[in-house]
Parts: sequence; C-alpha cells; structure tokens
Amino acid sequence: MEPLIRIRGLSKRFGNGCHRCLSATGPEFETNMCPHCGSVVACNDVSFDLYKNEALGIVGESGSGKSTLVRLLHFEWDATGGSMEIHRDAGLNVMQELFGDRDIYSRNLLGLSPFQKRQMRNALMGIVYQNPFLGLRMNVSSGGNIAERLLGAGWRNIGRMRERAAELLEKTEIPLDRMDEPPKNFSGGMQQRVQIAKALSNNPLILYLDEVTTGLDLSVQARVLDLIRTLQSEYKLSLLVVSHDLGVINLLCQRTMVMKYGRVVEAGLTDQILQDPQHKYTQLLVASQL
Amino acid sequence: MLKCIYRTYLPGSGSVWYDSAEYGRIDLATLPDRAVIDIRTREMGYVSQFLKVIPRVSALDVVMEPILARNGVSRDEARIRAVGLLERLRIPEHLFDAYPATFSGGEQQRINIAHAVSWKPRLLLLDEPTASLDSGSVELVLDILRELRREGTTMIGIFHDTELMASVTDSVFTIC
Repeated sequence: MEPLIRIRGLSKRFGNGCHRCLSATGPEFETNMCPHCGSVVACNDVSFDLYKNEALGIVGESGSGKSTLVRLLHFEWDATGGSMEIHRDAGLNVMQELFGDRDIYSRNLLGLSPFQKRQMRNALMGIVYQNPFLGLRMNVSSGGNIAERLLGAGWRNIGRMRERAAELLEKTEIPLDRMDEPPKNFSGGMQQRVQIAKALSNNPLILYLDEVTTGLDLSVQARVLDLIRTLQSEYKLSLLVVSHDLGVINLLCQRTMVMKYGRVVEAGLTDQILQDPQHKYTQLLVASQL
Repeated sequence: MLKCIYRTYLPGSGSVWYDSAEYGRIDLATLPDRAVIDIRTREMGYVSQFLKVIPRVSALDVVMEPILARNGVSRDEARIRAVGLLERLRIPEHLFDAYPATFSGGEQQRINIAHAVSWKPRLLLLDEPTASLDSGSVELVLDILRELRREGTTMIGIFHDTELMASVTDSVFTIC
C-alpha cells in the first residue's frame, strides 16, 4: 500500500537565517535558536509518510516543533522548505489538475496559491486545536460553527446544513437541544467535542489533533479519546496526533515520531518507542512518564 | 527474544527470518515499520504475560475487535465466534459486557488469550501464557492452542513448566 500523503524535508525558520543556522541548532546543541543570527529553526528536514486510516503520533516537549509541523501541514503558515504530496487515489474530488499524466503523487501542495490551499484544506483536512478558541467562534451557536465550515466547503442549502450539523453533533455526543447554544456556554470537554464535529463536517481524509486532551480532566480526556477512536475507524481517517502525553499516543497511534529542538530524533512503532527507546531523549521521556 | 521477533524491541544485530504469506521470506529485524504493522495485522499475534487492553472496552468487544478488523466477517458472525471462545474459556456470561480491568488475574489472562487467538494468526508468540492461570483453566487454554496448531498456526512459546511444555510442543530450545 502506498502512503496517502508524503512529507519530505519540511522546514520552518523564523527570521532571516544565515548559513550557520542548521549547523548550530538541534538536539545536540540543545537549542533551536541560531546563536549567530538569532533566527529560530522551528522544524527542520522532517520527512514522513501518512497512510490511509493510520494514526501517526508526534511527541516532544513544548517548543520541539510539533505544533509548527501541524500549522505547516494545515497551510496556516508557509514552510521555508520541503514538500507535501498527496496520492492520486486518495479520493479527492477537486483539483485533478495537480496530478501529472502518469504521476502517482500530486505536485507539491505547499506551493499552491492561497485560493488552491483553501480548496485543498476544505477537501482534505480537519483540525482540532488544544485551545477551543482557535477552532471555534465562541459566540456563535454550535450548529452555526459547523454551518460556517460547510459554507466554506461550498454548501448552500440551509436546511441540509442544519441536518448535517445535527448529525455530527449527535455523533460527538452533544445533546441536540443545545445545538443552538454558543460553545462559550459549554464545558471544556464539550467544546472539544464541538471542535471535533466541526473538523469532521467536510468529510476530511486527514484529521490533525493538536494536544486535544491537554488541560481536560482525566475522565473527560477518556471520553474524548474514546470518541476519536470510534470516529477514526468509522470514517477511515488518517490521524496526525500531536501530544506530549505518551499515554494518549499509546492509545491512539501505531507509529510515533519523537521531536526535539525542531528535529525528528526517533521514529518507530509506538510499542518499540515506549519499550525500547533508542535515542537518549526518548529514553528520558519514557522514564519520566507518570 | 519474543519481543525482538514481534519488533517491540529493535534487535541490536542478527536477523529474524520469517516466511510470510504476504511478503515471502523477510527479515523482521530490519523490516520497515509499516510492513511490520501489516504483518502484525495479517499474520502475527502476541500473547503477553498480562492483559494490556484499551480501557473502557468490554470483554466481548476486546475479543471481537481482532476478528472484525481482520477476518472480514459481519458483526454478528464475529460476535458468535467471540462468545464461543469466551464460553470455552469459562468466562461467565454476566462478565461479557463488563470491563476486563475489573476482572480477577485469571479471568484477565483468559481474555488476553481469547483476544490473541480469536482471529487465528499464522504465527503466534506466547510469553508464559498460562503462568497466571489455575490448573483447570490451563487445560482449557492448552486445548485451544492444540486446536490452533491443527488448523495451521505456528507457535513460539515461553514456558516455565517443563511438563506442561512437553505436552504442547514439538521442539524445545533452551537458553541459559
């Protein structure tokens, strides 16, 4: 089986950069800030494949570049370098012009115009942030939040949008009689579930989960994780799970990448990463687990 | 050794040659991660010493999950198979919908074994599968293992009880 998307050499630098940035940052220097020019190498040369219906974990401490990676792949920030390509048979129903006649993979999605990126995002991706304020309009009704996303994806019939919103909120266990309430009235766990409903509204192939259970209390975390597992198998989603919690990664992901100072220091099967970590940073991470 | 074969541990050196139904002759020690996952999904099972299951999943679902994920059968069919296996292992029916985390050690281990054998893997790795079982349950488990063998499953097992081992194995490899 071939990967759904291929990421190669993905890099992001904040600042002008100099020729010594890459040789003076990274885990062996214990910094991601270049001492010569002050630029921050948020992530450098990250390559991986994501397969259909697979959950890939990304672990690392704050500042390791995990969230940067998601922001780049969600087209929120422009990458400094690297490529993201999607498989021809992914089931995209838009932008067939991205594929050369005989090519199995599309051209570099990171090089698309802003308009094309928006189209691609609507057809391909959903995202759930740690902070629900980033993913939701807190003063707009929950149904309205979903309808807004559907409008972006080209839906126009109000009745059908409302039906779709109700269906998704039901799936994510939000009582339907609260569909017209704004998320600001909801608990943290409910807000995350509205975010998940919104992220799924356009039937994405890929769902980015950026620390989705961080800050929720344990029993609420458990329900959100259960929901994610159910939805993944029901919709055959590919998940990119960013978390600093190895328990979350262990529960959701078969494969895991470990990041530190903007670099991938280790990648492998999740049980191998947890039971036989190779890099000394991963060993420290596993040993520090509660 | 079992963990090296299953690739939970990365072997420092050496090879693990496996004649895969899907891939032919392959070295599990160096196989790419995705192919290892595929082999684990299609062919290779592992029974740990203790049950490690996802929390908040019922005993019946724990046993049904691998059948549903792998054998391409309907939910009803998977349920029939899982119930049959649980009954054979004398798990009381009122525990089917309960969470195994609340079970006794012996019950948990029987769920663990049911989970590992339910989908009839081609290669099954067993790490002291009967260590935490009472003697009655040991016989039930051995029966199931013998039946799996007759149906073509190859097994590598770690046993401490040599007598018991002799009753289920063709060859014994001693490491000291």
